[in-house]
Amino acid sequence: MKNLDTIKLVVASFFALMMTSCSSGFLVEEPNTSLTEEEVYSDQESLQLLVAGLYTQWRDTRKDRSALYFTMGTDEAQQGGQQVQENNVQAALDKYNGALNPTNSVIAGEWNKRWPIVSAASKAVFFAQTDQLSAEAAFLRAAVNFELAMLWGPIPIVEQGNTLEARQPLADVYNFIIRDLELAVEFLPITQSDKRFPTKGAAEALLGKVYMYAPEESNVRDYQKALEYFDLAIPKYSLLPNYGDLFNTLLDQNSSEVIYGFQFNNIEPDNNQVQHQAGSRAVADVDANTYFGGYDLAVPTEYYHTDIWVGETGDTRKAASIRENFVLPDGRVPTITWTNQPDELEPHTKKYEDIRTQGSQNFWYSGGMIYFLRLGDILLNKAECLNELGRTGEAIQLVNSTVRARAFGGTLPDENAWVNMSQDEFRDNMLDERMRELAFEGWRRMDLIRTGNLIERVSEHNPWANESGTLQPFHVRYPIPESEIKQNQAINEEDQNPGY
Amino acid sequence: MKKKYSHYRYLVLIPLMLYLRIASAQDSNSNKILVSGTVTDEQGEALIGVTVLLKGTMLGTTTDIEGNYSLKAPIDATITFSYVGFQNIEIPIDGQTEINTSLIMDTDALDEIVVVGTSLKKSDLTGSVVSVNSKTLEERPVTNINDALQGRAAGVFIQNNPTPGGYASIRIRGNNSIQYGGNPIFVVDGIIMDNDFNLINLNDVASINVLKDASATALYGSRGANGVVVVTTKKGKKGEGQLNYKTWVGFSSFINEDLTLGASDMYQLRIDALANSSIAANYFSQYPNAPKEEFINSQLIGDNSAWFADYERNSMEQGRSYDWLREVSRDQAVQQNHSASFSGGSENSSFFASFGYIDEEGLIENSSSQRITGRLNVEQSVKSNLKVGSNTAFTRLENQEVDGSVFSVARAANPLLPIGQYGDTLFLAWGDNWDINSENPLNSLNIRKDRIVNKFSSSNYIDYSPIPGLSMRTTFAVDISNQEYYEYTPRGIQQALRDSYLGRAIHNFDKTTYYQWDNSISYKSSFGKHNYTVLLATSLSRDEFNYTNLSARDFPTDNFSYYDLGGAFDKPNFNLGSDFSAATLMSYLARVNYNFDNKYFVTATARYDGSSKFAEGYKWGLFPSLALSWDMTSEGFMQSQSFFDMLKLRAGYGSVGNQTIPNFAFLSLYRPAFANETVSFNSTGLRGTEALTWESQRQLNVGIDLSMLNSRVQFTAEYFNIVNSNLLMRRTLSTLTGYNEAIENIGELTNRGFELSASAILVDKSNFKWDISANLSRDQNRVTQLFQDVDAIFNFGGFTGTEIQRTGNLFLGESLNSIYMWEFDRIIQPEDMEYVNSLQLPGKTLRPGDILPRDQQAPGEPGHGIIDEDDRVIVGTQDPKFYGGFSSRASWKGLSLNTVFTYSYGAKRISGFYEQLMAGTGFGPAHNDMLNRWSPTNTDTNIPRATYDNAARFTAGETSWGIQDASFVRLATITLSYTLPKLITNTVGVGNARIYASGNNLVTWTKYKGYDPENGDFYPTSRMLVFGADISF
Repeated sequence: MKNLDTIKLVVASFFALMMTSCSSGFLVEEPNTSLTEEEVYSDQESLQLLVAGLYTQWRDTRKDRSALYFTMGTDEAQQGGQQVQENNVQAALDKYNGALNPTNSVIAGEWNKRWPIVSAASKAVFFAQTDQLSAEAAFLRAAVNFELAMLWGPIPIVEQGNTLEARQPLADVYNFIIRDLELAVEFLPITQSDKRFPTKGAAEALLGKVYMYAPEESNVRDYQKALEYFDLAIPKYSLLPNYGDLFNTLLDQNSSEVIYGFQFNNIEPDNNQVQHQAGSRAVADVDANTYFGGYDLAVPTEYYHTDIWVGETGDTRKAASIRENFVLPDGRVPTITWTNQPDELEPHTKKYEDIRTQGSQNFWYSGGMIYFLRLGDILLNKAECLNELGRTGEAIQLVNSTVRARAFGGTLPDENAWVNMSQDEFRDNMLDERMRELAFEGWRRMDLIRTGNLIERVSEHNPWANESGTLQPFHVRYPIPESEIKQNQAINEEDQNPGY
Repeated sequence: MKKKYSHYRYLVLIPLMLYLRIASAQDSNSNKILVSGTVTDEQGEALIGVTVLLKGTMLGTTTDIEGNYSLKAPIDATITFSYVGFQNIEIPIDGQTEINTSLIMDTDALDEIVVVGTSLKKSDLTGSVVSVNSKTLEERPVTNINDALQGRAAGVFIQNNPTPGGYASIRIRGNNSIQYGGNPIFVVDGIIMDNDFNLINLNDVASINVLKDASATALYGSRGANGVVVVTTKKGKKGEGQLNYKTWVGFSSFINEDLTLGASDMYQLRIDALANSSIAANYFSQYPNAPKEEFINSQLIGDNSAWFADYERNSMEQGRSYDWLREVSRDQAVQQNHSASFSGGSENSSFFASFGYIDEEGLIENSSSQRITGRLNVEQSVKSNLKVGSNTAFTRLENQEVDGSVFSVARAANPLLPIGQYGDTLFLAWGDNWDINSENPLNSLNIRKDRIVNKFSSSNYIDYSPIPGLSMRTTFAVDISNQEYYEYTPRGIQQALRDSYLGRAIHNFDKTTYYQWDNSISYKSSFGKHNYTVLLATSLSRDEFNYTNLSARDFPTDNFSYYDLGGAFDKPNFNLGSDFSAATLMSYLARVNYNFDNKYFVTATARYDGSSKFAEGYKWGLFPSLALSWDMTSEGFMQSQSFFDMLKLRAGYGSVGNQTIPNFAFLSLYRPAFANETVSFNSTGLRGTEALTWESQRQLNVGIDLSMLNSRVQFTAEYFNIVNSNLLMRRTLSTLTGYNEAIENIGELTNRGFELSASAILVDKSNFKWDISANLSRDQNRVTQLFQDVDAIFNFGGFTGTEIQRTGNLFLGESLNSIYMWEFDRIIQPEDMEYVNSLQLPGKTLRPGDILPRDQQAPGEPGHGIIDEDDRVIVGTQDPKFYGGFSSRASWKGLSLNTVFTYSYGAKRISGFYEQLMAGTGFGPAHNDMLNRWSPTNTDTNIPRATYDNAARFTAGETSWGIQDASFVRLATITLSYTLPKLITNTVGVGNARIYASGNNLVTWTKYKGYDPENGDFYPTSRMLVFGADISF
């Protein structure tokens, strides 16, 4: 029987081996190159880096075509002819026809890019242990929510632990934005060495804008409060003497005029690629390493490149922001390409040109600063507030002494000075003045929406909208994307903006 | 399917034969008689070299080339017939002078398969199993297992991959999981492998068993939900050593690359497209009375027109047409395949060693692939009850790949663009549109892309059997695969100029280290008529993957290619990447096989699996299964009949799990990224699902196996019904959540179908034999439940991730593979325009000759008269209604002719390529179908008109107009072979020699309009002619 015992022993030890080989720790694997959500949000240093990443994500909403989508379909910019020929969905942004609908992937793409920033910023606001970090996250959430609410109308309110996924009344949305910005005004520092992060001045300027831009029906619009916040911000900045320097990438673009700017350079992935869209195809076909080449996604309307400059001889802004000469630096002369689209050699915007790329890099690498808030804009906004508050005289004085003076080289000739305008005339002139100062910088659509001029002005000055003849009042808001309606249980077909 | 093992006949042991002849000469006794006879196999084919011995002596002989033997033997002796691979048989002489016999295949020896951690008899697999032996595999001269299986096994759906070194895709019983783990697992000598199991030398394979149902796959439960392909490699056999050499050379060529219009048709198309466009409309609004010819002459084809380039006018004048695809492809690509194997064995040991070499040219210039394989399988009995063994293989694969743009640009190139004159331009053109994204394919051929894979796998076991019936086995296996990828894009070509670099080098290193440790203890016994086997096993495995990626830009010279990363001088654009990750699995298994009197069979299995892919508390799943079978022919009441040789009923029900998802899907993760000049943490976009757990599959399988008329007709039928629940699926999320997507356990999918396979021996004469076989499979899946009360989950994609895709959407009650889009209604005729103009369209301007989608709402219903997203419907599914293969094998003396057909019926397929070819703008390649395009004089056609304004109408891909019928019947292989007569081979010292000629993919019957109904439009269909020889010594 000894033999049998040995066998029993062998079998038993084999069993033991089988069982012990399987300890439960064996089934635990950890990621080696990523942090879990808990790790990121619980560690302040990581959270700081996360918020930095969100600012980069926000910056990237200004990259490539996206930088121009909302500018298209306005009175200052229109799509190039070949772009319209090739892409029916994108063409709808100018035509306001049946293809501007909830399935429009361009509009939906812009919507989708912004919510992850809002959502992550909400978590950061909640988990941040310092007031400054919390304020940095709150500023970002407010800035993106502001843009969403201006363009789409009522939006969900994303707040950690209390997210309302259905569309919320405009008053609630704007009050939520204001609350964030008040926090930002209180806790953001006066200066930031890392230029990705906003300053106190940026929060003040943006909060002023929110009070001024908020739709009437939100009951939030308050020109007096706007004025107060602008007045807090304005003394912290000064206009550059030369308007053209704003777009000169050879200079340090974080200048005294910048309140908040999106930081780019000409090295991937920090290039903005916008010139690739805004430049001329005729130039690109001759030499793609020419800094003003591109593919004509958005070009100035005739209204912008000609009409508004009538009687404004001497305004340096025109030459600094509109390219009319397409001869290459080496003397080669481009011609209309195979597309037969004459707009290739009609005026283009200069604001995205990056001369650093000339001769050595494709214009795709263009990476000049893209402004979000700069003093020129805020001064004009302040003047508007003054005008709305019945202080038209002060408003005229402010425009003459700052923005227009700078535009005319520092001294405003008498014949170009604004005088004796009614409140209404001031409003009209201001819309043109803002175009001269700020065209292609991203504020036009919102300016038209808040002043109630989108339908009239775009029908008149945007040739695609004019030709299509389908622009209607409901188009002041973009459609809520089909992808949101299908995937968000709290937003249904009946919650769609009217008209779509 | 009827098995034929006639090749074993050629395992002639010539020296042994001589030895035995000498032995048999030593007769000394007078009461002996001369006994003679013929030994055949079950099919009556003569067996050569069968050892014929007097029992208990070493006296005897072997059979000759006709299977005949004769020997003198004592009148009361017993003769033993033995032959490798067959069961021994003993026959008492009892005074007979002629004893003919047939030997039966030793299925025990051949059907022993190694599953995870244990080895068992194939007959113990009570469930649904299809077997394919090496003989069948060798009928098609192909280089990997998937290709060889095509059309040969019911329920196994294989799609070819035409790239050199590429693997075919394989699906068993259609779709079960929604997105994850659609592939079966491959178990090679007990090692679980991924797709790269195809790297093994096909000539090393002894048998392949495809396990389809839950009971069969239960042995692999943690990963077997989509079927298991068990590959068993060859072993040495007792007796004299053998040497085999197989070689073939193949010549392949494209057969249908020519789908597009040539130069002059293209020229006319563009004129037509422009004349049908807003360009013409603008002209005629200016000159309302001008004739069309005048518009064409003055605006389009005049020397000053920008619509045609000078080179195009010249090509037209010279009547030239240029084929850029031909320019970058080989007329004929050659591949050669050599394989040598050596095997042998003694009482206590056996070995099998092999070497293989494949050299394959791709059909695109500069693409090729070489593969070297080596294998050593050994087994040794150390003691009578202790056995050790190892199956070890090494593979080296070297691929020289070609940039994808070579093919994609060449096939879309302008036939009016002269190749000689523009052979070195940076990019190609249509008209004067020199498109920076159409990189000159002749330049792109200079991009080097080299891939090297070294794979080592080794499975090592100790098998200890202390008492009869009790076996303990431990197996440790490793599978290590290292892939190196090197790329160099030279300076000066468009890819480099567009991205502004002077040469770019990439090095990517991928390392996969897998190990697996299995332990089992089994006990086999019987009492009375009760036979049982009990198995307990544990298994654990760890799969480790890490990679390092490097890229550098700007080199002083192209001469160093990708070799000198340090020589790059664009330091800010150095890119580095790496990751290290691992996944583990652990399983406990208990299994009982029981049968009563070999009539009633029961297999019960339970397994408990744990996976690192799930969070704590969700890691484990329990998966039981049960299978029953009844061999009716063993019943008393069946003994009196002789019609059925076998009648076996089988039924099984069980569950298995699936966890084939990416690692860490239960966590929301953040990765550091460098941008904006500093590092930041970004979400990966995936929302972690904490409660994520095993997908489970419950499968019912019922089958019947019939064998009739002396086994001349065999038939198997199976029905299955699979319910997959807790489906693992990646779904897109509203971005309000802060994420783009999540992997979740969502809903339920059923998949049911049946499989039939039949074979028959039609002629069975000694010189002429003919058998045929066929199989047919059908599987149909349906989404039966989604989460909460949702009835559809849409798949959003496209450039901005917001467009509903045509495929990948889930609709309750519909197939997983539904195609969802606008339905084609008709080609608009002039008389339809009133209706068309009444429609509200999504920004489209339609004219006669354009495609009209169907308005899905009837008059009075909301949405009637509007074409919008509510008009999208399911227009078909990509599932075939049925598929399979059929084959025939005929032989006459040494000649044999084998043909294999594969087929698939009823699947719809999206051909993006065909849709692109039907744009009709004249500024891109066009399908030959455009010759029959709609025009005011050719209205009876379903081909839309040409127009430059294609974006303003419904394009070919926007409605179901372009959806293709992917049904086909394909002559996959036809092989004519000749086995040289023994008389000849013996005199030159060769045991057996066979030469053959074979054609792969010779003919395909299909309506599909892209390149290939099976491969899609990846490459044109290619055909290969093969000449080969198999020699054994």
